Amino acid sequence: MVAGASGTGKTMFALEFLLRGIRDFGEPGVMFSFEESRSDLIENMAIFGFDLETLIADGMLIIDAFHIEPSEIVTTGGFDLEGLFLRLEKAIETVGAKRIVLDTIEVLLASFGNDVLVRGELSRLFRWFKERKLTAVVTEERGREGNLTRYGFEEVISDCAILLDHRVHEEISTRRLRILKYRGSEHGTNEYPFLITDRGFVVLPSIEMDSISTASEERVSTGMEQLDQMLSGGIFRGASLLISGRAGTGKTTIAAQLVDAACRRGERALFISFEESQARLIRNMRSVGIELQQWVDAGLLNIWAERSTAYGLEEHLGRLDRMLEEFCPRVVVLDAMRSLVELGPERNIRATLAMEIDVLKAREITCVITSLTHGNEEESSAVGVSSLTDSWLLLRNIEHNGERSRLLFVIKSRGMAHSNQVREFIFTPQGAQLVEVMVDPRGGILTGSARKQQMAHFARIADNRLANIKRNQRSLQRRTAVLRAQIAVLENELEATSSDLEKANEEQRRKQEAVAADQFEAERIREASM
Amino acid sequence: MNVIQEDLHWVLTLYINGASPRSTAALANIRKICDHELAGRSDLKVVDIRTDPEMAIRDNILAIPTLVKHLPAPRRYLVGDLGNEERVRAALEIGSGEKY
Repeated sequence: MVAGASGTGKTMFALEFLLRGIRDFGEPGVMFSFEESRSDLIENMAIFGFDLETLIADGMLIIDAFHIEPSEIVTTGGFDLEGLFLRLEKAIETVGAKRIVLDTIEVLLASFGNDVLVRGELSRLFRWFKERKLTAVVTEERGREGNLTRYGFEEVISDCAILLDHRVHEEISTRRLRILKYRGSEHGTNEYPFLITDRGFVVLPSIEMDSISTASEERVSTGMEQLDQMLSGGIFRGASLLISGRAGTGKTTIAAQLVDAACRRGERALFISFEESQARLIRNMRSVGIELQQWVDAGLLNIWAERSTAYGLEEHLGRLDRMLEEFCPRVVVLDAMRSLVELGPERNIRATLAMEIDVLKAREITCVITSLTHGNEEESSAVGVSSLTDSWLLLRNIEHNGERSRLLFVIKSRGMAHSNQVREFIFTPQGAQLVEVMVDPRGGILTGSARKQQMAHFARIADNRLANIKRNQRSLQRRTAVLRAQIAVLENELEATSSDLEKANEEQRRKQEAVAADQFEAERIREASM
Repeated sequence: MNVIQEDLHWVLTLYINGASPRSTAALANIRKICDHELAGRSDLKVVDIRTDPEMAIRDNILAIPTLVKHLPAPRRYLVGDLGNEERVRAALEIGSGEKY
């Protein structure tokens, strides 16, 4: 059962169920329409690229549309719905149908009364479908004030109930789908946004979140070595990066640099530009040394430039989804988010972006969103969106000494170590580069020419210090030489002195021996004379 | 009113499903009306959806039994066994003064 108010896409849902059955599974289908005429259905589906007439001619589809006017019907006693069953049976047998649509059952209930009799007949019909292994989609009008359906029919059809909702707030339409119950099967309980696009019904995210629950460890280079270092190796594959800043802070350049790096790796990139045409974007980026034309020519880069106001949010998302499907980019840039605000209130933009980020994440696409901020809102306005993204770079212009310099801050980066230092980034003919900022000895940081002055100042100081050291070295060398010479002289002196001392000692020893010998001689003479 | 009704002619089709109890009852009920107060002024056709399904499809008959009043205008579908006489007479627009 598919329930929803009028205009929520019930008929679309039901018809697509039949058409995909035929196209993708070779299962013929039968549609019983109590509301729209056959020609209206064929015409409406043609807009969405479905050719019903061919399918009917091929004997794969029967559309039985007839109008019942409840005011022409008077109940006068007991009855059954054999007429409807007979008609269905004939149609089902004619094409060998596997799929049935009744759109909408509301008409039957309104015409024949919502009593036990009609309910009994319809449950008999659904049992009959089940016995024949037919899958049926039955649409019903949404009830008022909390009631799922106007006639509480979900009690009769109980295998699966899907609710469609279409809210229009300040001219922005948002469609949502919720599975209320699905007997014998697990199902998501959230409301899922969906779109009715030129490819039919698209539920977002179009890829199951379960299949991508493993977060990538792979790093993607931002194309700026110094920025990669700040993010300890780049941003994760499939992560989202917000670059916020005022006009002229270089948001687009950083995004383009990332795209350039991706294309260099041979990856495909999609650049959605709401700000500039393709030609202007390419020209502007060329002026800072980023050559995007080569990647466009190589078929690696797709620049999708259009005024954001040309489409509603829903259509924008639909087109994006289609482009992802067809072009399969690894990197997507959205420049700039602010332009989306023109499409509706901030809350919806946030919801749309959340959807967009989910869609990209599901496909493991690295995404860069730039956000233009104005005046004092600099950091606050982006906060709503920043919580949706994995990393956030803030660019800020500072004015000092009559010139402007660009500063880059890494405000956050989920799941990775990152530098909390600020960097100045400068444009060179080789693209943007980051340089470490100088800390002013008087406080603050120095950028631009003040930075150059300070660097020259430091260089002079360094030069002076070097000269001093050299001077000092020379005098020390001289002094060393003098001392060495003095040491040599003293050593000679020492040698001479010690040799003299040796001689003196020898002389003394000889003299003592001579004295001793004389004494011995004198005593011997004295003994002899006695 | 009686004068006007004298000129009217009722063109009716009753759709039945074989000899089911409701079909049999409906047939008996409408026959009674046609044979009495609409005597000579009615044209009743009985269609069995089992033997003549195409007719039922052409007339968009979903419920059985159904009596279709083609004429006099406006067209009406009388669904059920026609047991509720009051509702049947009202739907067929048979003047109450002519009650037999």
